[in-house]
Amino acid sequence: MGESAEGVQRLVDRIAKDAEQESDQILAKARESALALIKKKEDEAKEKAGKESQTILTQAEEEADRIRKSTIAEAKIKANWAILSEKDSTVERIVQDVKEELSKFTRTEEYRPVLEALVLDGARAMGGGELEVLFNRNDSKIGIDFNTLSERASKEVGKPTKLVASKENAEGIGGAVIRATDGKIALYNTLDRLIERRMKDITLKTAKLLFSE
Amino acid sequence: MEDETFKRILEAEKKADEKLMDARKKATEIEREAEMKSAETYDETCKKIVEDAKRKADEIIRRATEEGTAEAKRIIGESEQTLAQVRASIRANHRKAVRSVVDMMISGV
Repeated sequence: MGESAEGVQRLVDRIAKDAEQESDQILAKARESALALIKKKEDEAKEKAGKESQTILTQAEEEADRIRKSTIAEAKIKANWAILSEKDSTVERIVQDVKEELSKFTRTEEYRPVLEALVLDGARAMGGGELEVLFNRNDSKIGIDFNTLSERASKEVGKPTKLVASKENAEGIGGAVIRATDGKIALYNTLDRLIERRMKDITLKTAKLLFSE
Repeated sequence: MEDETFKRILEAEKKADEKLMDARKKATEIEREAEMKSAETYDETCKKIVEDAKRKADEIIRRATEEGTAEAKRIIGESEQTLAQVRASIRANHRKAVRSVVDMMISGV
């Protein structure tokens, strides 16, 4: 091979080598861009999903807080309700027992002055005048002296007052209903009504005796 | 001789062009695959992160439910103790309370 032939061969080799290098560069650049693109998309995904996941976690924390609070509040309500319910039913039982005790009391000697006081109190409240008094069947048998009571009522009211036993009977465990003879106005001084009127005091007293710590 | 030389150079350049063309084709294919791969990566990454967050959220709620239930149990337990005390106090003082209310009613007449 002459000098000229060697020169041509070097040129051919050079062309091939340059092509090889450029080809490698093209592929390397393509791979690099591919990796960069994947990395870019991954970063974008991380950012987007990161925000979404933060929202999910914040909502979960809020929901968790709500669950905790509502479960506890429900338990507190249930607990308080159980205690209040027990206290309420106790007051009801006390009232029932009080009625029984008062019913027993109406069969004692000490009851008469109490019954008289209830009649007098009613007469005062009615402002005196002609009044009829209703007792239950048991109290009707006690034999209240209406003449004496009428005198006392007249003095206390400061006006002639006549109390008479009604032919009708009142309902309940005891006490009296004082009614104007024309039947227009009546005052219920029965023990049952007294209990109703003093329910607040009864509840307070019961609570103080039974539930105060 | 000059023709032969020229021919060899042209051939070499032709091969070089083919090589480059082939490389560009491959590069285009790599970029096309990268497009697809990047879309897949995007979806998978999103899915993985969100699923992970959902798992954590479930765990947060599960733990809160557990804690709330435990605290509720403690409150109910305490209230049962209080209720037992209230009942004991009622048993011990019931008669006294009845007597006291009866006295209040009679003395109030």
